[in-house]
Amino acid sequence: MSTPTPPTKPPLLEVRNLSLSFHQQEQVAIDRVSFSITAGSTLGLVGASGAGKSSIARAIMRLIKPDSGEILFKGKNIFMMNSQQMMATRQRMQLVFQEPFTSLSPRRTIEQSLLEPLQHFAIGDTNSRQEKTRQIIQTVGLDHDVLRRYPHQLSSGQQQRIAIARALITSPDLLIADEAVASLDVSIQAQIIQLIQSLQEELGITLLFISHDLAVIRQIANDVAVMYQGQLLEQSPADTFFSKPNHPYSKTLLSFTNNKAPTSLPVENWRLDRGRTTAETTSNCVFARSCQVKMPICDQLEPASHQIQYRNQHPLGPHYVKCHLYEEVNTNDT
Amino acid sequence: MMGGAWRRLKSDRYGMTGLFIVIVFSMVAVCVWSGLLGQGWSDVSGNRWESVSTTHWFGTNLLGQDILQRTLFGTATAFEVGLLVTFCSTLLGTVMGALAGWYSHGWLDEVILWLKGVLDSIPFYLFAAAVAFALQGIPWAMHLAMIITFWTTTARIIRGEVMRIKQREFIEAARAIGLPSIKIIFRHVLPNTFHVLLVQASIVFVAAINTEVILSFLGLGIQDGVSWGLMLAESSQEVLAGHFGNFVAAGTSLFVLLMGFNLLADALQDALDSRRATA
Repeated sequence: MSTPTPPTKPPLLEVRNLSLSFHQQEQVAIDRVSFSITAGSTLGLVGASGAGKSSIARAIMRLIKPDSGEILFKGKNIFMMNSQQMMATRQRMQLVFQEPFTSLSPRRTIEQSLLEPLQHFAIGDTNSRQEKTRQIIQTVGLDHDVLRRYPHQLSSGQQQRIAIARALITSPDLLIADEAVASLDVSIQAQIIQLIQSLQEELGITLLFISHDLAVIRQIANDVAVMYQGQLLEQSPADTFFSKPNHPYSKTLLSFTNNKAPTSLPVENWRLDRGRTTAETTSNCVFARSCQVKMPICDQLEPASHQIQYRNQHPLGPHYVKCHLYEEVNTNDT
Repeated sequence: MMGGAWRRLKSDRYGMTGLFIVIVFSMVAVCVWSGLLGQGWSDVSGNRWESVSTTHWFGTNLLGQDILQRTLFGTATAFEVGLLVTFCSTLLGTVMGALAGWYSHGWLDEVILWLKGVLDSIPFYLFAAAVAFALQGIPWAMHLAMIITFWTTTARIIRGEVMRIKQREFIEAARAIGLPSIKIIFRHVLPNTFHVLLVQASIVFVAAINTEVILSFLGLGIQDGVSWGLMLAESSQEVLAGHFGNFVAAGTSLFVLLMGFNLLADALQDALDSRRATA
């Protein structure tokens, strides 16, 4: 590169202290979550089902309203935007869902589904819109004749490609993939991940990739954030995370994917740990009940999010762990 | 999706019988409207209570009017009532149901459910009588009574469907680009309730024709023209005197048409079943 890169790129998306609870079920979905994604990079958001990952995606898309916190897109708080600004912002971020069949309108042709965002945002005229649908169909690796078909006439892999095409047709800056490959066969999973990666390289899209599957995250993410019961427990560059996870929960998660049976894991507790009501106290660590290295303090005091200090500044980004174990640790070899 | 439904309907013998009956009756109705059939329904063309003959296939009534002509004209009346009531109540029910379902558990939903609850709790014939009495002299009183009471079932069904559909991800995708609710409802939600609406509309059609006969029999129905209900009302005295013309003609027509429609509605329900359609 000829031009010197700035030391830190500004984040495209920044989430600050986001909290959300579902009042009808009195369930805490998101609990003071903060993270940011640098433009052009991929954040992998990991966690068990019910950890609050999808709620974060929906809050960013402004499909649900959080109780508190801020979401900044290109430095602007999306909750302070007027409808005009919001319309412009919606064009710049898009969502791909888990279930490809239900994410496409069953009684509309693929072409109608793809044209809708263009018509809604008044991008181009009729001819250029049709041209654009043809282009995008090629970009996601499909043939023109799928445009006339209905979703049920396509395979799930094709449907997911269409869902990605619909998300990309407004040329967004941010793409949120909410378990976008979870319901696909392994071989198709690999194809879709490859497609997303190549599109990211080609178009420079920033990606929030949500998955419960660490193997998938490992393939695609630059940074990893681990969620448990609505809280972020660890946040680190992907390399560090996969080579040297710090939080006890991250270690347990990784031992699952490495097919090493975790030693004496209190499985019963995991079931109990599903979900937390608003009435329950948060004066302890949310992972305390299932933690194998629990200390007395874990039941009494909620740990703060500690930044792991490396002797040399970590080249790939900051590393946060929300655990009492790391209170005193200020140096940690890379 | 619709192609598969038609194939399933075609292979259903009872459904096709029903469809055939409905088509024959509607052709009669069209012929009456266009002036080809049943125009002599009010002409006195014979003597009182003539029996079956080649000039009067079903005989004549008290005034010497031809019962066949009156039956044919009654078919058109039945379709008029059926189509008008079905169209209006389905439209009203769909809009109300869609609003209630989309804003479920909101104040609009509460209001609509309350209205539906009130209307459903009034005995229907009492209500129809009250409306007919209140709107004396207005020829549409009966239609109005039916529309006001029949929309509630459609609304309840559509409300449930909308609540189910709005949780699908394509609705979230539409909301994610900021599409206004009204567009989402009409473009993405309601088209997916079409199969339910079609079946429900055919049920309402049957109920409307049925109710017209009962209300006309009670003297609350058709004010102008003739209907099967009016013919049956006439026949109530004639049968005792041994004249079965009105009774057989109107009763058989009503029975055959309603049976045809029920067969068709059943077959439609099976053919359009979304679980089978998506499989």
